[in-house]
Amino acid sequence: MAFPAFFSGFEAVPLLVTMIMAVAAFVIILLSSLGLRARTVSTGISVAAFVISLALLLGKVLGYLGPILGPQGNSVFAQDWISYLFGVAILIVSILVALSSEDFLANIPNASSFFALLIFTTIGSVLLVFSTDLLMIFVAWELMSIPSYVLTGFKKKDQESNEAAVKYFLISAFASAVLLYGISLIYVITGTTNIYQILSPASSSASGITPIAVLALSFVIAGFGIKLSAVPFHMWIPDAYQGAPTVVSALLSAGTKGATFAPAARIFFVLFAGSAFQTDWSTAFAVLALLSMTVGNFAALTQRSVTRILAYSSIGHGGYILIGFAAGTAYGLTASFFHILNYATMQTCAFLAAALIIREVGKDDLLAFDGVGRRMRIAPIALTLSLLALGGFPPLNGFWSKVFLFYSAIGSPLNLGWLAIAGIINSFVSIAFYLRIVKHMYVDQPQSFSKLFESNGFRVALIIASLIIVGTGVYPGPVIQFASTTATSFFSQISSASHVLPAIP
Amino acid sequence: MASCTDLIPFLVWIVPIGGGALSVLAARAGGTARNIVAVVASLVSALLATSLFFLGDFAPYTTTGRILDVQTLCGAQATWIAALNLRAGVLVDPLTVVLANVVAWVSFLIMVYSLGYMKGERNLTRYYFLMDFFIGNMLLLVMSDNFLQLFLGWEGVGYCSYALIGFWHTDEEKYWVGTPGDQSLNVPEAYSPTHAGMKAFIMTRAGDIAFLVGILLIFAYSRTFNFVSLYNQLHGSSNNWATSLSSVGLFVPSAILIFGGAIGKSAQFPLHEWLPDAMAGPTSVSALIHAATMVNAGVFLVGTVGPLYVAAFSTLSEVYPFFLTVAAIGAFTAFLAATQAMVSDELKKVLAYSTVSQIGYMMLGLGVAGLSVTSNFDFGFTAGFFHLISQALFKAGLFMCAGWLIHVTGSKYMSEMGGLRKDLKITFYSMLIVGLSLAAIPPFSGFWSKDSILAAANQAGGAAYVLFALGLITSLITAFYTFRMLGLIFWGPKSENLQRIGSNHVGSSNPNAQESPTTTAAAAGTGSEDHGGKHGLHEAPRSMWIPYSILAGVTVAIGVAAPIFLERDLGDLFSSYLTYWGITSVYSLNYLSDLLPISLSLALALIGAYIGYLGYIKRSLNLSVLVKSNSFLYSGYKFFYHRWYLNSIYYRLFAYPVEKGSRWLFEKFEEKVIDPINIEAPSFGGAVSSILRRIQTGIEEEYIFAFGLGIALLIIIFAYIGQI
Amino acid sequence: MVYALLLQAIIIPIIAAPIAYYVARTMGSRAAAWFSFAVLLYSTIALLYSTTIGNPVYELYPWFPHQLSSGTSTLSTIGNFGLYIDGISAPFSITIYIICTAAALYSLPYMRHRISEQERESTFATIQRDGGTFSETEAEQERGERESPRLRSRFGLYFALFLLYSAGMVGTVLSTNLIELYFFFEFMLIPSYFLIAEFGYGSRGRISFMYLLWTHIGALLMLLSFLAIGTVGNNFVFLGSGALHAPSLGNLLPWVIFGIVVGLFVKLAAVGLHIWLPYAHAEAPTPISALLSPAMIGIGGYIIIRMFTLLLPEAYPEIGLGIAIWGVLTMFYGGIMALAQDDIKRLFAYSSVSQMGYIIFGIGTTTQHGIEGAVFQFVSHGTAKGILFMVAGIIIVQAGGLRSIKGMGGLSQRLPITATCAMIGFLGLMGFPETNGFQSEWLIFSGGLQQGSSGAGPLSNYWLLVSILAVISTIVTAAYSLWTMKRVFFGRLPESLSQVKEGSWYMLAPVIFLAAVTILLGVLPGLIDNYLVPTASTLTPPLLP
Repeated sequence: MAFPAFFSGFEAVPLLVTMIMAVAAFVIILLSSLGLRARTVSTGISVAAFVISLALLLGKVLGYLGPILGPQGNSVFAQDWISYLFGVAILIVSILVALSSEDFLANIPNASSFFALLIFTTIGSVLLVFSTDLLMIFVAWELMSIPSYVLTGFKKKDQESNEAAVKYFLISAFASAVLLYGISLIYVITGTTNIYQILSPASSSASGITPIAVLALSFVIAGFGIKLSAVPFHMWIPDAYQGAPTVVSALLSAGTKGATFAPAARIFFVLFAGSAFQTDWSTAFAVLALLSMTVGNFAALTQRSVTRILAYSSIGHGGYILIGFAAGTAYGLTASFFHILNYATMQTCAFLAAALIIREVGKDDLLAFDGVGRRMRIAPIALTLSLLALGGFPPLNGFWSKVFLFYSAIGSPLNLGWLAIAGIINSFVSIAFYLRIVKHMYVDQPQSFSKLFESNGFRVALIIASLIIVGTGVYPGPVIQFASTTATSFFSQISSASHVLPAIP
Repeated sequence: MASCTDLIPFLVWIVPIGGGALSVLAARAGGTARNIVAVVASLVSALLATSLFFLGDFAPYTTTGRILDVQTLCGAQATWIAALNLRAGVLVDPLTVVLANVVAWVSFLIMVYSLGYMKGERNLTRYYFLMDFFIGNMLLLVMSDNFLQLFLGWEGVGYCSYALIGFWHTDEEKYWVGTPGDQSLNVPEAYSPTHAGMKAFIMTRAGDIAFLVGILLIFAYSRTFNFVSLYNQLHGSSNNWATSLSSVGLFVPSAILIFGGAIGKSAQFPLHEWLPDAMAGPTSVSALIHAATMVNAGVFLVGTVGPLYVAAFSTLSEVYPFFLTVAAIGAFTAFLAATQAMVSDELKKVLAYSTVSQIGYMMLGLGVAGLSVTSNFDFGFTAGFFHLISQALFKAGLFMCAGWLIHVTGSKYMSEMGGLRKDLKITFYSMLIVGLSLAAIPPFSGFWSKDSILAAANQAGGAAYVLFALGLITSLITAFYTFRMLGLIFWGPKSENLQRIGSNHVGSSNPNAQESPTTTAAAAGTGSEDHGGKHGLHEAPRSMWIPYSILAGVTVAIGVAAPIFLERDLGDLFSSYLTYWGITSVYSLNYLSDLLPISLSLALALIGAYIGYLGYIKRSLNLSVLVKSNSFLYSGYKFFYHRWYLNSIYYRLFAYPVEKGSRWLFEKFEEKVIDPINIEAPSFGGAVSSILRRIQTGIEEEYIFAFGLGIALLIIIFAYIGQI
Repeated sequence: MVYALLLQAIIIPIIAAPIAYYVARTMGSRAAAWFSFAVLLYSTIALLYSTTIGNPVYELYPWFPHQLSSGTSTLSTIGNFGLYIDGISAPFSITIYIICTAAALYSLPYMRHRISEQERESTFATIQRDGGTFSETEAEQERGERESPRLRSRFGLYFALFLLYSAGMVGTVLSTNLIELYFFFEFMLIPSYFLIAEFGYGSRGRISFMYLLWTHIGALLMLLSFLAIGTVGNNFVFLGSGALHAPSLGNLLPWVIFGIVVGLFVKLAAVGLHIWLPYAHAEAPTPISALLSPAMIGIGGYIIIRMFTLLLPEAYPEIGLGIAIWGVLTMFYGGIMALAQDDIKRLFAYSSVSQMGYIIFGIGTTTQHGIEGAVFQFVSHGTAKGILFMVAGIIIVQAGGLRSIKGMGGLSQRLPITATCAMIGFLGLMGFPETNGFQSEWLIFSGGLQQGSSGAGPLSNYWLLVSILAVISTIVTAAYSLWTMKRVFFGRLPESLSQVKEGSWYMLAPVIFLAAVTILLGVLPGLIDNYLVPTASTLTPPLLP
């Protein structure tokens, strides 16, 4: 295969992206082993790699690099709208995390390996969202997870960090096993591991659902549930997020979690559309959504640690996103995708701003946040904006996606009005703890008025994130269009294979 | 065709309002400029009002009544609220023109009086503005051609009344009304000016609310507030607002509701309690607002709507309840207030009770007019308004005299006056004349006007005989308290207070006034430093005595003219007015045929006057000893003195429960039930939250256990769905 | 779309918000106040001018992709966003901006007082508010000198939030799309939350939070109803081109109405749902109380009017009666609570509850007059309560933070202009003719009595009773108004207040201006009616004429 032909029409964008990032990671490691350990260089290289990758993805999305075609035959990777949408979201998170890590790692050794691991996690995530084969999904999943364990325990001397890493690893390993088991069961039932092949009519002869299929479904959901932070698979999250370096928590909660929704969408909407699995998995999702929202938001109410609050918020938002999945319509998926895009920026921004403040004040306790609004300039504003966005206030991006999510639930043919009501109640509850942080930062009197340091890396990251939050909130049209195109094209793939959504009247 | 003379009826009320505003500006140039502007505005308004007599073919009033509105105003097409099809307009008819003249000229005289009376007070800019604003609103009220505009003026005068009663808003004890320490049923009966003002406003407000509901009920069917349109609708079709209201049973209620406004504003039972306390204001204000003009607004209102109802229904039964209510309330109020006037020691309060009583007479007259709709509506109608005119004149005169008396003696109590007829000759004779008019002694105006009311009541027959009898008794009481008042002030020995003033020509007016409980509140009206007993007993300055002597003169003149031509001419005028609205009614006063009621009432008045004469002028009969010695009489005295306990009952029924109830509701409900929600709701969330937190143990094994539970849950869900 | 006036009126204050912050930072508080004033004045004039162009004026802007279509299913559209000003939205929006404009100037001396007070509190926790003494910083500010950068940035924050808040309120009123409406409805919540949280009194953190929580839950209820409407009608546009009309909600209708009514009654502080209001209005910085109370809460009434005309294909006297009864209860409850208050701002807060009862009652009548009256009531309450809160603020500033009525008395001797304006405000409140309060109230009562005297329905007797009760409630209003007037301004002047002086013209001029508007509209109600009535008469449910 000739090299130019390989890249013809830029059909190989995912490959290109992973290659660029991999090269960047090796360069960082190389430079590090050569003794060049400057954080700035590592940051520069990784950010550059992410930005180039993002530019490539966006070029494809905007049509400058040829159209997005959709899944092709038997390939392990698909280049469809979903993969690009999630790719964009992941890269935005990675860029933000990389930018702020430069300063965050100031007192932590081995900065370059941190960046390498960050890049590897990103590569894994990107591969995950492009995968259309169950085995490939599993491989990418592990590719994504393993570096993230290390990142979680990156603060070697920190007891909590280590404990978090262990917990994360144990639970994830368990989940991987369960997921793998689920995948093997699917293979047993369908005889193939390619998601889009299972769509073909031949495999959909069986009617009704068998116990094996039930097991397969449950295991897959449970396996994904770990990363999706769906209740009751969420237990590790507060501990891990609190223990991990806070920038890593941003990556975990926004990047890897966001990425997991892509294979979830593929498996559930494409694979389980096959008649062998014809059952109302939407209800399961609805239940999980309800549990996640409720547990996440209520549990956060009385937390005193900001990272834990954000961790629970992350759980709650996982629940919101699942509303769109449960709705089972293109509209619901639009809403979910939209919310994933928004959530990626909101949550990253919140965690990064919190990371900065926590590092400066030394504690992640709410009381330590007292009066921070008067002591720092960018971080409290960014944190306030992102929290308000998470709470769903206009004119911020979270407002729109929440409206869409609730609307999709009400409009769903499955009569999910109750889910919308639950979502709205949860949204109401959630502002209580979001605003508690804001209140501590602005209303309460600080212990001292001395100014706190904000590094440029953090500032740039937070300003970019805030601009995305406000910009999308004020003019959400293009982003909604992106999400909508993704969802509708995804649905048209399903319908082109003469499948309708299962069990939806 | 529009001509600029049409502007005049508008200017009649715009000028004083504008003058009031102007006087505020003029105050920057000095007090004199301000006073001149204010008084001149009032004079101009009076002259304009008089010019209305000559406006067009008005006298004698024929079928071409002049109804003006902005549409015909110098070709101007401006309307008031175009979208709602409401126009601002004025009505120039006999009723409004006569009343406008009375109001405007009495107002002017009192404005002149104020120059002297209020001299040296602080905050006079506010005073003159409010007085002018009052005059303008009163004329607006009288001249309006629709209910809504009338209501504007109606509330406008109410506000001025409130603000002027509370003119001395610093509430020093000397401005209080009532004797300090007075209380009945544990309710204090002495009030500060601001309290009295508030009381007046809120109490009249109760009536105004009824009024508003009444006119809105009519509006609901007629879609108009305009009197002319209302009449035209009556004549236009048999299915009109009145019959529609009647068909849903709301005709009489709406009429009585409108009368409620009159009850409030004219201080009729049961809303009469505010007027005696309104005497906390300056006496010029009492004369203008609480005797001569505003309190008559209710009578005017009944006179405006009464013919409307008569025109609406030719059958008596429809309107009978309304007119009976008016007459009964009038007669009862006349009696009620007269009894209270008998026992009061405060000069202004006697006059206030008397005002309430006299307005009761007017209501009686207007009420009985409607009790025999077709035969003699005009008779009672004319009698009522004639009494309104004569009462306005003599009561304004009485108040002005009283103002000077209080001023010069430094006391508001009659018991602290006495023997003043030699010292204050002009005041004495003026007050004597207007007083005799009040007592209905011929030949003064009050005699003719009141007696035609009684004659009308007599003619109406039926239930009205009871009211007639009540009126007769009241006339006895009226004559008694008038003579009591005159006797206490002008005859008998000089009180200690006066002797002290007579001997003490310099220095502070009354060194003991601040200490002695009876005289602390005595110095109402003595704000001016150069009067008030400082210079001994002396006659009023010219700006003050001229107005009230003029009024005394007018009382005599009317008294002489009334039987000869005035009353009959007035009757004819109103008769043609009523005929214009389709009420066939002929004025039928005949002194000979009505000899019985007239002689009865005269006889009773003379009896009353004679008792008063014995008790307080000749002082051969010591009534206070008599009353105190007899427990029955004494309890009657107490009963009357405490206003039949109505005042305190009202406080106990309305004011205190609301005040206490609001605090109770606030403490027991708002703070105990509503507020805790604020605390409970978050703590509920907190409780749920801490339960959920407990799940988060931090032990991996349990996390994996939860994981397993999750899988089990999923399997159960799918199995459950699968079965279905 | 002449000059995009409506868009300008909303966008310019939003854009100006960060500029106001910058202006305050670089040029000081006075410049920021005048800047905000100028911006709001321009926006007010833009709105006023737009009403002369036509009725209605409609501007349409693409904001969302109009159609999210796909192969298998057409996705519901959010629809385009528009701005719409007609006889109903004009009185609301213009009143809001007029009060905001007045409050912008008023804020300058008040916030000087407040911010320096806060600085003192935070710097020297032990210093108590002692009557009438000016701190050094305040005296310096008085001369407009040497504001520290910190003070300047506080002012900047204040004016930036102030502008955002103003624009949010007007945006709500001008919206043509349910989602847009909800957007602005929530949008105004955030700046107002921060204004209370940052500059408020008492336990401002908790109170602002409570305020946000309760109004937010109301908004979310409303959102649910909106989403249901949008789902059924497949359209969110309720005004202007392509608007929904009476979507057939079927069994959902009662729930939707419930969501809207209850959701917005929280905003309107109808009795039972008024929990948040007394705290928020009493503890907000006074210029913000002057916006919260008359301007913001009444918006709930606006939305209910719009939703009723949208949803109810015919007049619903049953629903209307329930609402009217609730309104009457609110009138009485608020009024009686006001009687029991000692804190002057809390008194006005309860008075606002009571006044909202009139709006609720007017809407409940479902008659043309009732609706007109409700709209007019927003205007009259806006001016009257604007005056009164500002008067309270003048007393607070001039008497060194005094808020307890017990400590007041005889102030009309020291503050004659303020007292006069307060009187006008109270007169407006109690529906005194010759002020705009009467012009609104007679329309409202006329609406109720039309229902009551129609004689047709079996409900008319109830209507009659309820309407008469409503009219009677004005006595309660008069009682607390006059009593407050007496306790604050009349009687003996306490020794401690003998040195109180009239406030600066920054505070007096806005109050006098509002008082003038109060009287002007009372004498010439046509200024509003002539614009309002033609619209009200075309409302879709056939109202009683």
